[in-house]
Amino acid sequence: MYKQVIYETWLEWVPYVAFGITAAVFITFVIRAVSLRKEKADSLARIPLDD
Amino acid sequence: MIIDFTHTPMTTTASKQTIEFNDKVVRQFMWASIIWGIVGMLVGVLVASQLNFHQLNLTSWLSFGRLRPLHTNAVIFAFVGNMMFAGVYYSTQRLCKARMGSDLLSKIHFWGWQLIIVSAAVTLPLGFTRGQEYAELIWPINIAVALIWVVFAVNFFWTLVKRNEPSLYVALWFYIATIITVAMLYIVNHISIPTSWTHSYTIFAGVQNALVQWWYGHNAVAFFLTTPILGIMYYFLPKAVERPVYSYRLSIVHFWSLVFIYIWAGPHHLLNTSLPKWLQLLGMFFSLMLWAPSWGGMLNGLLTLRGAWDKLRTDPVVKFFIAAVTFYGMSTFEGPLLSIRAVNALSHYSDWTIGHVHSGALGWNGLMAAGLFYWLTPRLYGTKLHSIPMANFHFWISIFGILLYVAAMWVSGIMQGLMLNSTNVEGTALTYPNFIETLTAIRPMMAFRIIGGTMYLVGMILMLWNLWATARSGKALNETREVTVIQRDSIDNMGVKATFLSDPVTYMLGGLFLLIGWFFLPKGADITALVCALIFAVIAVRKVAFSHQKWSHWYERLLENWMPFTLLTFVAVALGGLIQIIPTVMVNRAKNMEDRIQQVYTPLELAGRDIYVSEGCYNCHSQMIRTMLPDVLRYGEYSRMGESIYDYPFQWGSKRTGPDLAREGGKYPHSWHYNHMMEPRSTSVGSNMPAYPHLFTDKFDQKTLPRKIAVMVQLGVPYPVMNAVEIKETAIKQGIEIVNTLKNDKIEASPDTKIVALIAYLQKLGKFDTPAVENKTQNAPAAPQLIPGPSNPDKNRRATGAE
Repeated sequence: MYKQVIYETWLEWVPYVAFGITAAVFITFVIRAVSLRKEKADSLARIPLDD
Repeated sequence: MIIDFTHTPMTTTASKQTIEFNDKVVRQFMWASIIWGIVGMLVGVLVASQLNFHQLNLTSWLSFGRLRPLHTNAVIFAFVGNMMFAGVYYSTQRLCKARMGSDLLSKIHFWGWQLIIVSAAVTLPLGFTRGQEYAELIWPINIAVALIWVVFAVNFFWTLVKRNEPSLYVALWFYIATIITVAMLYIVNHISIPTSWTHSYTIFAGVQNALVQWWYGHNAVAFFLTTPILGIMYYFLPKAVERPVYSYRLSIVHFWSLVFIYIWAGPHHLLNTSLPKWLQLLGMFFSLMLWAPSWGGMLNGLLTLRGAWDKLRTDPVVKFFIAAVTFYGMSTFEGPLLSIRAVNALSHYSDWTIGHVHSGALGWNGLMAAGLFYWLTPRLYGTKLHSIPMANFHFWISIFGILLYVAAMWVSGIMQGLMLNSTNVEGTALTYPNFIETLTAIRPMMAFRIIGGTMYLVGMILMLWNLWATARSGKALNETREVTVIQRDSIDNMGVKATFLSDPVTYMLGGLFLLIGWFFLPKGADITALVCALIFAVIAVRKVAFSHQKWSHWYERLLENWMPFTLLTFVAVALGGLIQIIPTVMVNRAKNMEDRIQQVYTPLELAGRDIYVSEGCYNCHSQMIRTMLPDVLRYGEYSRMGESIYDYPFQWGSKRTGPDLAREGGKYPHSWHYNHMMEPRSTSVGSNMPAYPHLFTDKFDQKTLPRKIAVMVQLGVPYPVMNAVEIKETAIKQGIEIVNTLKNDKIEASPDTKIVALIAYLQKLGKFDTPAVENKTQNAPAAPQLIPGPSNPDKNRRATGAE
């Protein structure tokens, strides 16, 4: 399944993979966070204070 | 198996109900945390003092190598662990508007955890250890930890099931991530085969073991010392300043990016070692990218104080919280910095790392704990804090203590790192060839550390007194509250299909899957995977634009469904570990090693190795010569992957209070080791190493040797066939050879003593075979350079094809 454990060309591709994966996660959840309705966000934020 | 998350409606009528929270368990965990914290820090001050005053290594069970794991385990699992449980139990009940799932499980959790701590406090000084940092506890205790953790998880999730608040607040997300990730990490890293009731061998060896261990070790910091405390921050900081968290939206990005990225960063503990470079680079990049979520969380905490900054002057709770969050920011800035390979070449194995972890542990964890306990105690006992000035004094003595400690360790680490790495202009000789020169230079800084640590400990004792007086002035009470019982069919009704076959998950996982394809697929196919990933991303963006409401609705539903939320969190945390570990575990076999295979330990050497592990030698000595010129000049050729392939557990270490031992074998005669272990200063003037007189009288364990060899064979170590008698005879025969050599130097010893076994082991370090060139290795490069250039070590370390 896996051909190598050491890749000689690691410098050429690992940074892009790391960046790509992180960017995908960040963008997805930024979109998600921004699209949350303000009223909903405010009500969720107040949960600890509703004593 | 199909899991149905849909719950049968319990009631459809909204009604009011008065509930009494279980605050007794919160009080129990709080007191346990404070008391164990003081014990753990007292041991910390003792071990710090032992490094300056070797005479304080009074007996075998009070020696540095055995006490240092006790200190780290006590502070992590006893102090922070109990504090975390106190915070989780208090806040979960309030956030769910429900009493904990089961009082019995709460009790089992509390007493079980304390029993585990006591077991650790007994076994570690006795030298019973697995020999891996923060994973030292022996296998019966490992099983107890796993069981008690399951009890905690069941109790927690049971509370979520019976909650009367539809939405899961952000603090609960962090608790969920903690529970499932710690379970995953702990179980995988502790898989072992027992050889007796007090000893086992991990199933991973060498580089595999290193990778799995630091996947666990790094994420113990992430998911035991960080995520639960962030959950506590998100609940208690708004309570303390009486205003909601600065940005709930930011908390969403904070949570998901943190849990996803953190898990990839483990390899930064193994930079410049024989770990494959692509893994090192992944560890470095993901560590750097952790800056974003970490600082997002820190700013969210600090800005929660908006409009209430005056509280910072008057309220000790707010002081502790804000200082803690500031230390979180500082240590999460420093962590990525230390993960840069060039910086790590200086900092690794030095006191800089010790300073870094203490700014996190004392600053972030310790000050959060203090703020939490000062806030909780008056409420748990229905009274006021006994003394605000004393709390303020605690704050300032802690701050000065931390700063003194951390600054001393920074100076010490950077100074020793620079001295150890310094060479002449040509790069052919070391400026400070004697390791002890560098140790002597940092001794004053090590003394300042003792003062800083003691100041922090005094603050903890003052807190205990203050809170004890507070408790005595009030009465233990459980809060009662009237809550609206919610309709059960309105929450936790999201099925598997709605969770996983939804657009957000499909596109996210599909995109990641294709990126992983780009990662591992052969040339040609990898580009195809990348192109597909980009096409996928474009489609996803278009889908978001057209189905914006649908995507929002899906996430809002997810926040009201604990099981799908938990499963998605598990996917997020499992992915990084799987991608890093599976290739290494599958490929790291003897037949795939490029040029060197470790020689198998003889029975006596194996017994000696177990003594080395038991005495905790790895706490001060590494066995890993990094791919760096100064390391090679000082210790010999850099270590290859194949040279620790039979090391169960690996002993690469993470701190060099003494020199590296990877090529110690044959460097000195037997008599040197004999005298050195009897009195280190007789051979190494200025050494701070403890003497080990008990090794000269204690016998090594012959009884379990056959079982140990059998387990080694089971793990794939190519031992020749030997029965129990032959194993013991072989060991004693080698012992007699060593004893005879010692006689030449007028030293009398018995062949069955621990010192003889330890000498046998030390003399084996660095011994390897050069395997015959097989077809698949014929294209491998020629013999490696003796002194590699720092930039091109991989050119000499290419592994060959695996099956």
